[in-house]
Amino acid sequence: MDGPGYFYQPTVLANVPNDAAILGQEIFGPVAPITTFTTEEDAITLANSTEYGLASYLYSRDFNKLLRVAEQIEFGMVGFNAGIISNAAAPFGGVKHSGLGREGGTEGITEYTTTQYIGINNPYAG
Amino acid sequence: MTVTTALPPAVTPAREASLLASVPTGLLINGEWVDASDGGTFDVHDPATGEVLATLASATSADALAALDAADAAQASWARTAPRTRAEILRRAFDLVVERAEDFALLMTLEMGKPLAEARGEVTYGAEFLRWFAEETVRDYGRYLTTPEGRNKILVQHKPVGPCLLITPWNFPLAMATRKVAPAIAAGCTMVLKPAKLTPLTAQYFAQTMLDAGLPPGVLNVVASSSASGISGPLLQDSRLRKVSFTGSTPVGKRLMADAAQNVLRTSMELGGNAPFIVFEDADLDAAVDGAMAAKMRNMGEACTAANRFLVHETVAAEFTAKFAKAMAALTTGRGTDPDTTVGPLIDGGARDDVHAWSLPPSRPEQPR
Repeated sequence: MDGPGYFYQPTVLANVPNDAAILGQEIFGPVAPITTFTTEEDAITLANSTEYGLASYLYSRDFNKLLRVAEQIEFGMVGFNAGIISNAAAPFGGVKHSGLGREGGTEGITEYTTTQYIGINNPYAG
Repeated sequence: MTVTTALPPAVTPAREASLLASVPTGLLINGEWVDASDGGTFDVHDPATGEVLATLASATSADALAALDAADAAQASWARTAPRTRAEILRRAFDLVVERAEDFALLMTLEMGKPLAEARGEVTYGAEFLRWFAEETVRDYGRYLTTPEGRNKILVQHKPVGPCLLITPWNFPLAMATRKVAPAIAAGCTMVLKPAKLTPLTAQYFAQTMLDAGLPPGVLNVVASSSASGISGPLLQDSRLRKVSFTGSTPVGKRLMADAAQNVLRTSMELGGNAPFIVFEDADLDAAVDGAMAAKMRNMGEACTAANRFLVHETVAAEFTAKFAKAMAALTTGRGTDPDTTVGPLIDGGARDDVHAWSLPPSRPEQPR
Protein backbone atom coordinates (compact mmCIF):
# COMPACT_ATOMS: atom_id res chain seq x y z
CA MET A 1 0.00 0.00 0.00
CA ASP A 2 1.19 3.55 -0.77
CA GLY A 3 2.14 6.18 1.79
CA PRO A 4 4.32 6.03 4.90
CA GLY A 5 4.37 2.94 7.11
CA TYR A 6 4.71 -0.72 6.22
CA PHE A 7 1.12 -1.67 5.45
CA TYR A 8 0.02 -4.74 3.50
CA GLN A 9 -3.52 -5.44 2.34
CA PRO A 10 -5.08 -8.61 3.88
CA THR A 11 -5.12 -11.15 1.09
CA VAL A 12 -6.71 -14.56 0.43
CA LEU A 13 -5.04 -16.74 -2.21
CA ALA A 14 -7.59 -19.27 -3.52
CA ASN A 15 -6.91 -22.56 -5.34
CA VAL A 16 -3.24 -22.70 -4.39
CA PRO A 17 -1.62 -25.97 -5.59
CA ASN A 18 -0.57 -28.41 -2.84
CA ASP A 19 3.10 -28.04 -3.81
CA ALA A 20 3.26 -24.22 -4.06
CA ALA A 21 6.34 -22.68 -2.44
CA ILE A 22 4.28 -20.32 -0.27
CA LEU A 23 2.86 -23.33 1.64
CA GLY A 24 6.36 -24.17 2.83
CA GLN A 25 7.22 -20.62 3.83
CA GLU A 26 6.43 -19.00 7.18
CA ILE A 27 4.52 -16.01 5.77
CA PHE A 28 4.42 -13.83 8.92
CA GLY A 29 1.91 -11.47 7.35
CA PRO A 30 -1.76 -11.03 6.43
CA VAL A 31 -1.82 -13.48 3.51
CA ALA A 32 -3.91 -16.68 3.61
CA PRO A 33 -3.22 -19.35 0.97
CA ILE A 34 -6.00 -21.94 0.59
CA THR A 35 -5.40 -25.39 -0.83
CA THR A 36 -7.73 -28.41 -0.90
CA PHE A 37 -7.67 -32.07 0.08
CA THR A 38 -9.87 -35.07 -0.59
CA THR A 39 -9.32 -37.61 2.19
CA GLU A 40 -8.44 -37.42 5.88
CA GLU A 41 -5.17 -39.19 5.09
CA ASP A 42 -4.33 -36.52 2.50
CA ALA A 43 -4.97 -33.79 5.07
CA ILE A 44 -2.67 -35.47 7.59
CA THR A 45 0.09 -35.98 5.01
CA LEU A 46 -0.16 -32.37 3.85
CA ALA A 47 -0.18 -31.06 7.42
CA ASN A 48 2.97 -33.01 8.29
CA SER A 49 4.83 -32.09 5.09
CA THR A 50 6.89 -29.35 6.76
CA GLU A 51 9.98 -29.22 8.94
CA TYR A 52 7.97 -27.19 11.44
CA GLY A 53 5.64 -28.45 14.16
CA LEU A 54 4.28 -25.66 16.37
CA ALA A 55 0.57 -24.82 16.22
CA SER A 56 -2.19 -26.50 14.20
CA TYR A 57 -5.93 -25.96 13.95
CA LEU A 58 -8.64 -28.51 13.16
CA TYR A 59 -12.28 -27.76 12.42
CA SER A 60 -14.87 -30.55 12.46
CA ARG A 61 -18.07 -31.47 14.32
CA ASP A 62 -16.79 -35.04 14.77
CA PHE A 63 -14.79 -35.24 17.99
CA ASN A 64 -13.49 -38.71 17.20
CA LYS A 65 -12.11 -37.44 13.89
CA LEU A 66 -10.45 -34.49 15.66
CA LEU A 67 -8.78 -36.84 18.14
CA ARG A 68 -7.81 -39.31 15.41
CA VAL A 69 -6.13 -36.56 13.38
CA ALA A 70 -4.47 -35.01 16.44
CA GLU A 71 -2.86 -38.37 17.19
CA GLN A 72 -1.31 -38.45 13.72
CA ILE A 73 -0.09 -34.90 13.20
CA GLU A 74 3.31 -33.80 14.47
CA PHE A 75 2.58 -30.49 16.15
CA GLY A 76 3.20 -29.34 19.72
CA MET A 77 -0.18 -27.62 19.89
CA VAL A 78 -3.54 -28.47 18.34
CA GLY A 79 -6.70 -26.36 18.41
CA PHE A 80 -10.04 -28.16 18.11
CA ASN A 81 -12.55 -25.69 16.64
CA ALA A 82 -10.49 -22.89 18.23
CA GLY A 83 -8.43 -20.26 16.45
CA ILE A 84 -6.62 -18.87 19.52
CA ILE A 85 -5.03 -21.41 21.87
CA SER A 86 -2.20 -19.54 23.63
CA ASN A 87 -2.72 -19.43 27.40
CA ALA A 88 -0.45 -18.97 30.40
CA ALA A 89 -1.80 -22.18 31.93
CA ALA A 90 -1.05 -24.30 28.84
CA PRO A 91 2.33 -25.66 27.67
CA PHE A 92 3.34 -23.64 24.60
CA GLY A 93 5.95 -25.11 22.30
CA GLY A 94 6.80 -27.09 19.23
CA VAL A 95 8.37 -30.23 17.84
CA LYS A 96 10.77 -30.78 14.92
CA HIS A 97 12.36 -27.50 13.78
CA SER A 98 9.88 -25.45 15.81
CA GLY A 99 11.98 -25.92 18.89
CA LEU A 100 12.62 -27.46 22.28
CA GLY A 101 10.95 -26.97 25.63
CA ARG A 102 7.64 -25.54 26.75
CA GLU A 103 6.60 -22.17 28.13
CA GLY A 104 3.64 -21.72 30.46
CA GLY A 105 1.60 -24.45 32.12
CA THR A 106 3.08 -26.62 34.83
CA GLU A 107 5.93 -27.36 32.39
CA GLY A 108 7.08 -23.72 32.26
CA ILE A 109 8.90 -23.61 35.58
CA THR A 110 10.76 -26.86 34.93
CA GLU A 111 12.59 -25.15 32.04
CA TYR A 112 14.32 -23.06 34.72
CA THR A 113 15.09 -25.78 37.26
CA THR A 114 17.64 -28.52 37.47
CA THR A 115 17.18 -31.76 39.38
CA GLN A 116 19.31 -32.84 42.32
CA TYR A 117 19.08 -36.40 43.67
CA ILE A 118 20.26 -37.13 47.18
CA GLY A 119 20.79 -40.80 48.12
CA ILE A 120 20.30 -41.37 51.84
CA ASN A 121 21.19 -44.43 53.86
CA ASN A 122 17.91 -45.94 55.06
CA PRO A 123 18.09 -46.03 58.87
CA TYR A 124 15.44 -48.81 58.94
CA ALA A 125 17.15 -51.13 56.45
CA GLY A 126 18.18 -54.45 57.95
CA MET B 1 -18.45 -2.08 46.89
CA THR B 2 -18.52 0.41 44.06
CA VAL B 3 -17.65 -0.47 40.54
CA THR B 4 -16.26 2.25 38.35
CA THR B 5 -15.85 1.81 34.65
CA ALA B 6 -13.25 4.26 33.46
CA LEU B 7 -13.05 4.80 29.73
CA PRO B 8 -9.56 4.28 28.33
CA PRO B 9 -7.71 7.59 28.00
CA ALA B 10 -7.82 9.04 24.49
CA VAL B 11 -4.69 8.61 22.41
CA THR B 12 -3.35 12.09 21.69
CA PRO B 13 0.10 13.21 20.54
CA ALA B 14 0.62 14.67 24.01
CA ARG B 15 -0.20 11.37 25.72
CA GLU B 16 2.07 9.45 23.34
CA ALA B 17 4.89 11.89 24.09
CA SER B 18 4.49 11.77 27.86
CA LEU B 19 4.32 7.96 27.86
CA LEU B 20 7.41 7.67 25.66
CA ALA B 21 9.23 10.13 27.93
CA SER B 22 8.48 7.88 30.92
CA VAL B 23 10.17 4.82 29.40
CA PRO B 24 13.70 4.22 30.75
CA THR B 25 16.26 4.63 27.95
CA GLY B 26 19.26 3.04 29.65
CA LEU B 27 20.53 -0.45 30.26
CA LEU B 28 19.33 -2.07 33.49
CA ILE B 29 22.36 -3.45 35.26
CA ASN B 30 22.30 -4.37 38.94
CA GLY B 31 19.15 -2.34 39.59
CA GLU B 32 20.41 0.87 37.95
CA TRP B 33 19.55 2.33 34.58
CA VAL B 34 22.88 3.22 32.98
CA ASP B 35 24.28 4.41 29.65
CA ALA B 36 26.13 2.06 27.31
CA SER B 37 29.82 1.86 28.16
CA ASP B 38 30.72 3.39 24.79
CA GLY B 39 27.83 5.88 24.87
CA GLY B 40 26.21 4.18 21.88
CA THR B 41 22.49 4.44 21.13
CA PHE B 42 19.93 3.20 18.62
CA ASP B 43 16.53 4.47 17.51
CA VAL B 44 13.15 2.77 17.85
CA HIS B 45 10.63 3.52 15.08
CA ASP B 46 6.86 3.59 14.68
CA PRO B 47 6.17 1.10 11.84
CA ALA B 48 2.98 2.99 10.95
CA THR B 49 4.83 6.22 10.20
CA GLY B 50 8.55 5.42 10.11
CA GLU B 51 9.13 8.16 12.69
CA VAL B 52 11.55 7.80 15.60
CA LEU B 53 9.77 7.09 18.90
CA ALA B 54 12.74 6.93 21.25
CA THR B 55 16.50 6.53 21.41
CA LEU B 56 17.87 3.83 23.72
CA ALA B 57 21.29 2.91 25.02
CA SER B 58 22.82 0.19 22.83
CA ALA B 59 24.59 -2.40 24.97
CA THR B 60 28.09 -3.52 24.03
CA SER B 61 29.64 -6.92 24.72
CA ALA B 62 31.24 -5.38 27.81
CA ASP B 63 27.83 -4.22 29.00
CA ALA B 64 26.41 -7.70 28.46
CA LEU B 65 29.19 -9.15 30.61
CA ALA B 66 28.56 -6.49 33.27
CA ALA B 67 24.91 -7.59 33.26
CA LEU B 68 26.02 -11.20 33.73
CA ASP B 69 28.33 -10.08 36.56
CA ALA B 70 25.28 -8.63 38.29
CA ALA B 71 23.14 -11.70 37.60
CA ASP B 72 25.87 -14.04 38.82
CA ALA B 73 26.45 -12.00 41.98
CA ALA B 74 22.73 -12.01 42.79
CA GLN B 75 22.13 -15.70 42.00
CA ALA B 76 23.06 -17.36 45.30
CA SER B 77 21.05 -15.08 47.58
CA TRP B 78 18.12 -14.97 45.14
CA ALA B 79 17.99 -18.78 45.01
CA ARG B 80 17.70 -18.84 48.82
CA THR B 81 14.70 -16.50 49.00
CA ALA B 82 11.49 -18.07 50.20
CA PRO B 83 9.22 -19.21 47.36
CA ARG B 84 6.47 -17.07 48.88
CA THR B 85 8.71 -14.01 48.64
CA ARG B 86 9.25 -14.57 44.94
CA ALA B 87 5.57 -15.38 44.44
CA GLU B 88 4.50 -12.12 46.05
CA ILE B 89 6.86 -10.08 43.87
CA LEU B 90 5.29 -11.73 40.82
CA ARG B 91 1.81 -11.09 42.15
CA ARG B 92 2.59 -7.40 42.77
CA ALA B 93 4.04 -7.20 39.27
CA PHE B 94 0.79 -8.65 37.91
CA ASP B 95 -1.20 -6.00 39.76
CA LEU B 96 1.08 -3.24 38.47
CA VAL B 97 0.93 -4.41 34.86
CA VAL B 98 -2.87 -4.50 35.08
CA GLU B 99 -2.86 -1.04 36.67
CA ARG B 100 -0.62 0.22 33.84
CA ALA B 101 -2.44 -1.75 31.13
CA GLU B 102 -3.27 1.26 28.98
CA ASP B 103 0.36 2.41 29.02
CA PHE B 104 1.64 -1.04 28.07
CA ALA B 105 -0.97 -1.35 25.32
CA LEU B 106 -0.16 2.03 23.80
CA LEU B 107 3.58 1.38 23.94
CA MET B 108 3.15 -1.90 22.07
CA THR B 109 0.92 -0.28 19.47
CA LEU B 110 3.44 2.52 18.96
CA GLU B 111 6.54 0.37 18.58
CA MET B 112 5.08 -2.81 17.08
CA GLY B 113 2.05 -1.53 15.15
CA LYS B 114 -0.74 -3.83 16.36
CA PRO B 115 -4.18 -2.26 16.83
CA LEU B 116 -4.78 -0.95 20.35
CA ALA B 117 -7.53 -3.52 21.00
CA GLU B 118 -5.07 -6.32 20.22
CA ALA B 119 -2.38 -4.68 22.34
CA ARG B 120 -4.84 -4.61 25.26
CA GLY B 121 -5.43 -8.31 24.65
CA GLU B 122 -1.70 -8.92 24.85
CA VAL B 123 -1.52 -7.08 28.18
CA THR B 124 -4.17 -9.44 29.56
CA TYR B 125 -2.40 -12.48 28.11
CA GLY B 126 1.09 -11.31 29.09
CA ALA B 127 0.14 -10.27 32.62
CA GLU B 128 -1.36 -13.69 33.23
CA PHE B 129 2.11 -15.30 33.11
CA LEU B 130 3.00 -13.20 36.15
CA ARG B 131 -0.08 -14.37 38.07
CA TRP B 132 0.19 -17.99 36.89
CA PHE B 133 3.85 -18.30 37.89
CA ALA B 134 3.18 -16.49 41.17
CA GLU B 135 0.90 -19.42 41.88
CA GLU B 136 3.35 -22.02 40.55
CA THR B 137 6.27 -20.69 42.62
CA VAL B 138 5.07 -22.39 45.80
CA ARG B 139 4.15 -25.65 44.04
CA ASP B 140 7.40 -26.95 42.58
CA TYR B 141 7.35 -30.38 44.19
CA GLY B 142 10.14 -32.90 44.61
CA ARG B 143 9.79 -36.47 45.98
CA TYR B 144 11.02 -38.80 48.71
CA LEU B 145 10.88 -42.55 48.43
CA THR B 146 12.57 -45.81 49.33
CA THR B 147 14.83 -47.55 46.80
CA PRO B 148 13.36 -50.82 45.42
CA GLU B 149 15.65 -53.09 47.49
CA GLY B 150 15.09 -50.98 50.63
CA ARG B 151 18.68 -50.07 51.39
CA ASN B 152 18.48 -46.35 50.71
CA LYS B 153 16.12 -43.42 50.54
CA ILE B 154 15.82 -41.22 47.46
CA LEU B 155 15.35 -37.47 47.84
CA VAL B 156 14.75 -35.49 44.65
CA GLN B 157 14.64 -31.73 44.70
CA HIS B 158 14.52 -28.97 42.09
CA LYS B 159 17.01 -26.14 42.15
CA PRO B 160 17.23 -23.02 39.98
CA VAL B 161 19.34 -23.70 36.91
CA GLY B 162 21.25 -20.45 37.43
CA PRO B 163 21.80 -17.26 35.46
CA CYS B 164 19.77 -17.22 32.24
CA LEU B 165 19.99 -15.33 28.97
CA LEU B 166 16.48 -14.53 27.74
CA ILE B 167 16.13 -13.35 24.12
CA THR B 168 12.69 -12.09 23.12
CA PRO B 169 11.19 -11.34 19.70
CA TRP B 170 9.57 -8.15 18.40
CA ASN B 171 6.08 -9.50 17.72
CA PHE B 172 4.71 -9.85 21.29
CA PRO B 173 6.84 -7.36 23.24
CA LEU B 174 5.20 -7.90 26.64
CA ALA B 175 3.98 -11.50 26.59
CA MET B 176 7.25 -12.98 25.35
CA ALA B 177 9.08 -11.17 28.16
CA THR B 178 6.67 -12.23 30.92
CA ARG B 179 6.57 -15.81 29.59
CA LYS B 180 10.31 -16.12 30.26
CA VAL B 181 10.91 -13.72 33.15
CA ALA B 182 8.05 -14.98 35.34
CA PRO B 183 9.05 -18.68 35.43
CA ALA B 184 12.71 -17.70 35.89
CA ILE B 185 11.72 -15.64 38.95
CA ALA B 186 9.48 -18.46 40.17
CA ALA B 187 12.36 -20.94 39.96
CA GLY B 188 14.85 -18.58 41.61
CA CYS B 189 17.00 -17.77 38.59
CA THR B 190 18.67 -14.45 37.78
CA MET B 191 18.53 -13.11 34.26
CA VAL B 192 19.97 -11.07 31.45
CA LEU B 193 17.10 -10.08 29.13
CA LYS B 194 17.81 -8.94 25.58
CA PRO B 195 14.64 -7.58 24.01
CA ALA B 196 14.32 -7.27 20.23
CA LYS B 197 15.87 -4.06 18.93
CA LEU B 198 12.72 -3.31 16.90
CA THR B 199 10.40 -3.25 19.95
CA PRO B 200 12.40 -2.82 23.17
CA LEU B 201 10.32 -0.05 24.79
CA THR B 202 7.73 -2.39 26.30
CA ALA B 203 10.48 -4.53 27.87
CA GLN B 204 12.13 -1.40 29.31
CA TYR B 205 8.83 -0.31 30.85
CA PHE B 206 8.17 -3.85 32.10
CA ALA B 207 11.62 -4.05 33.72
CA GLN B 208 10.93 -0.81 35.60
CA THR B 209 7.60 -2.32 36.66
CA MET B 210 9.42 -5.36 38.04
CA LEU B 211 11.69 -3.06 40.07
CA ASP B 212 8.58 -1.22 41.31
CA ALA B 213 7.16 -4.60 42.37
CA GLY B 214 10.18 -5.13 44.62
CA LEU B 215 12.48 -7.31 42.52
CA PRO B 216 15.96 -7.05 44.07
CA PRO B 217 18.87 -5.50 42.09
CA GLY B 218 20.72 -7.86 39.79
CA VAL B 219 17.93 -10.42 39.44
CA LEU B 220 16.69 -8.95 36.16
CA ASN B 221 19.18 -7.11 33.96
CA VAL B 222 18.15 -5.71 30.57
CA VAL B 223 20.54 -5.07 27.69
CA ALA B 224 18.80 -3.75 24.59
CA SER B 225 21.27 -3.48 21.75
CA SER B 226 21.55 -2.81 18.05
CA SER B 227 23.85 -5.87 17.89
CA ALA B 228 22.16 -9.12 18.92
CA SER B 229 25.28 -11.24 18.38
CA GLY B 230 27.37 -8.74 20.35
CA ILE B 231 25.23 -9.69 23.36
CA SER B 232 24.62 -13.41 22.83
CA GLY B 233 28.16 -14.21 21.61
CA PRO B 234 30.17 -13.43 24.76
CA LEU B 235 27.40 -14.53 27.14
CA LEU B 236 26.98 -17.98 25.60
CA GLN B 237 30.73 -18.58 25.99
CA ASP B 238 30.75 -17.56 29.66
CA SER B 239 30.73 -20.50 32.07
CA ARG B 240 28.68 -18.50 34.60
CA LEU B 241 25.70 -18.57 32.23
CA ARG B 242 23.62 -21.75 32.62
CA LYS B 243 20.71 -21.37 30.25
CA VAL B 244 19.47 -19.62 27.15
CA SER B 245 15.80 -19.20 26.28
CA PHE B 246 15.08 -17.85 22.82
CA THR B 247 11.94 -17.04 20.90
CA GLY B 248 12.51 -16.21 17.25
CA SER B 249 13.35 -17.69 13.88
CA THR B 250 14.56 -21.25 13.31
CA PRO B 251 17.82 -20.17 11.57
CA VAL B 252 18.81 -17.93 14.50
CA GLY B 253 17.74 -20.61 16.97
CA LYS B 254 20.01 -23.16 15.29
CA ARG B 255 22.97 -20.79 15.54
CA LEU B 256 22.29 -20.13 19.22
CA MET B 257 21.99 -23.87 19.90
CA ALA B 258 25.34 -24.46 18.20
CA ASP B 259 26.94 -21.77 20.38
CA ALA B 260 25.16 -23.07 23.49
CA ALA B 261 26.50 -26.57 22.83
CA GLN B 262 30.07 -25.37 23.45
CA ASN B 263 29.05 -24.40 26.97
CA VAL B 264 26.55 -27.30 27.40
CA LEU B 265 23.80 -24.83 28.25
CA ARG B 266 20.21 -25.71 28.94
CA THR B 267 18.18 -24.36 26.03
CA SER B 268 14.55 -23.49 25.45
CA MET B 269 13.82 -22.71 21.82
CA GLU B 270 10.51 -21.35 20.57
CA LEU B 271 11.15 -21.16 16.84
CA GLY B 272 9.25 -20.83 13.60
CA GLY B 273 5.99 -22.45 12.63
CA ASN B 274 3.97 -23.38 9.57
CA ALA B 275 0.57 -23.96 11.12
CA PRO B 276 -1.99 -25.88 9.10
CA PHE B 277 -5.61 -24.82 9.51
CA ILE B 278 -7.64 -27.86 8.45
CA VAL B 279 -11.33 -27.53 7.63
CA PHE B 280 -13.08 -30.88 7.29
CA GLU B 281 -16.25 -31.39 5.27
CA ASP B 282 -18.43 -31.58 8.40
CA ALA B 283 -17.10 -28.37 10.00
CA ASP B 284 -19.29 -25.47 11.07
CA LEU B 285 -18.04 -23.14 8.33
CA ASP B 286 -19.03 -19.90 10.04
CA ALA B 287 -17.16 -20.96 13.16
CA ALA B 288 -14.23 -22.01 10.98
CA VAL B 289 -14.15 -18.58 9.31
CA ASP B 290 -14.23 -16.87 12.72
CA GLY B 291 -11.38 -19.11 13.87
CA ALA B 292 -9.48 -18.56 10.63
CA MET B 293 -9.69 -14.79 11.05
CA ALA B 294 -8.33 -15.06 14.58
CA ALA B 295 -5.63 -17.60 13.73
CA LYS B 296 -4.51 -15.74 10.61
CA MET B 297 -4.99 -12.08 11.46
CA ARG B 298 -4.05 -11.87 15.14
CA ASN B 299 -0.97 -9.63 15.20
CA MET B 300 -1.34 -9.02 11.41
CA GLY B 301 -0.26 -12.62 10.91
CA GLU B 302 3.07 -11.88 12.60
CA ALA B 303 2.89 -14.79 15.04
CA CYS B 304 4.66 -18.14 15.09
CA THR B 305 1.25 -19.69 15.78
CA ALA B 306 -0.38 -17.92 12.80
CA ALA B 307 -2.39 -20.13 10.49
CA ASN B 308 -0.02 -20.37 7.55
CA ARG B 309 -1.77 -22.91 5.30
CA PHE B 310 -5.50 -23.42 4.94
CA LEU B 311 -6.22 -27.04 4.04
CA VAL B 312 -9.90 -27.23 3.16
CA HIS B 313 -11.91 -30.27 2.09
CA GLU B 314 -12.68 -29.95 -1.60
CA THR B 315 -16.46 -30.11 -1.07
CA VAL B 316 -16.54 -27.01 1.17
CA ALA B 317 -13.58 -25.07 -0.26
CA ALA B 318 -15.62 -22.70 -2.43
CA GLU B 319 -17.99 -21.75 0.38
CA PHE B 320 -15.21 -21.39 2.97
CA THR B 321 -13.09 -19.30 0.58
CA ALA B 322 -15.98 -16.96 -0.23
CA LYS B 323 -16.86 -16.39 3.43
CA PHE B 324 -13.23 -16.00 4.48
CA ALA B 325 -12.47 -13.54 1.66
CA LYS B 326 -15.55 -11.50 2.64
CA ALA B 327 -14.38 -11.28 6.25
CA MET B 328 -10.85 -10.34 5.19
CA ALA B 329 -12.17 -7.63 2.86
CA ALA B 330 -14.08 -6.07 5.77
CA LEU B 331 -10.87 -5.34 7.70
CA THR B 332 -9.55 -1.80 8.02
CA THR B 333 -5.83 -1.18 7.69
CA GLY B 334 -4.30 1.78 9.49
CA ARG B 335 -2.23 3.04 12.41
CA GLY B 336 -2.99 0.95 15.49
CA THR B 337 -3.91 3.98 17.56
CA ASP B 338 -6.91 4.71 15.30
CA PRO B 339 -10.02 3.12 16.87
CA ASP B 340 -11.24 1.98 13.42
CA THR B 341 -8.05 0.06 12.65
CA THR B 342 -8.27 -3.74 12.68
CA VAL B 343 -4.98 -4.37 10.82
CA GLY B 344 -1.81 -2.48 11.64
CA PRO B 345 1.39 -2.17 9.62
CA LEU B 346 3.98 -4.93 9.31
CA ILE B 347 7.10 -4.47 11.39
CA ASP B 348 9.36 -3.08 8.67
CA GLY B 349 9.91 -2.71 4.95
CA GLY B 350 11.77 -6.00 4.66
CA ALA B 351 8.87 -7.91 6.19
CA ARG B 352 6.43 -6.26 3.82
CA ASP B 353 8.59 -6.99 0.77
CA ASP B 354 9.00 -10.65 1.78
CA VAL B 355 5.27 -11.16 2.28
CA HIS B 356 4.63 -9.59 -1.12
CA ALA B 357 7.27 -11.67 -2.88
CA TRP B 358 5.88 -14.93 -1.50
CA SER B 359 2.32 -14.02 -2.44
CA LEU B 360 2.89 -13.10 -6.08
CA PRO B 361 2.47 -15.86 -8.64
CA PRO B 362 4.21 -16.95 -10.73
CA SER B 363 7.43 -15.51 -9.31
CA ARG B 364 7.19 -17.28 -5.94
CA PRO B 365 10.83 -17.88 -5.15
CA GLU B 366 11.88 -21.39 -4.15
CA GLN B 367 13.74 -20.48 -0.98
CA PRO B 368 13.63 -16.77 -0.18
CA ARG B 369 16.18 -15.45 2.32
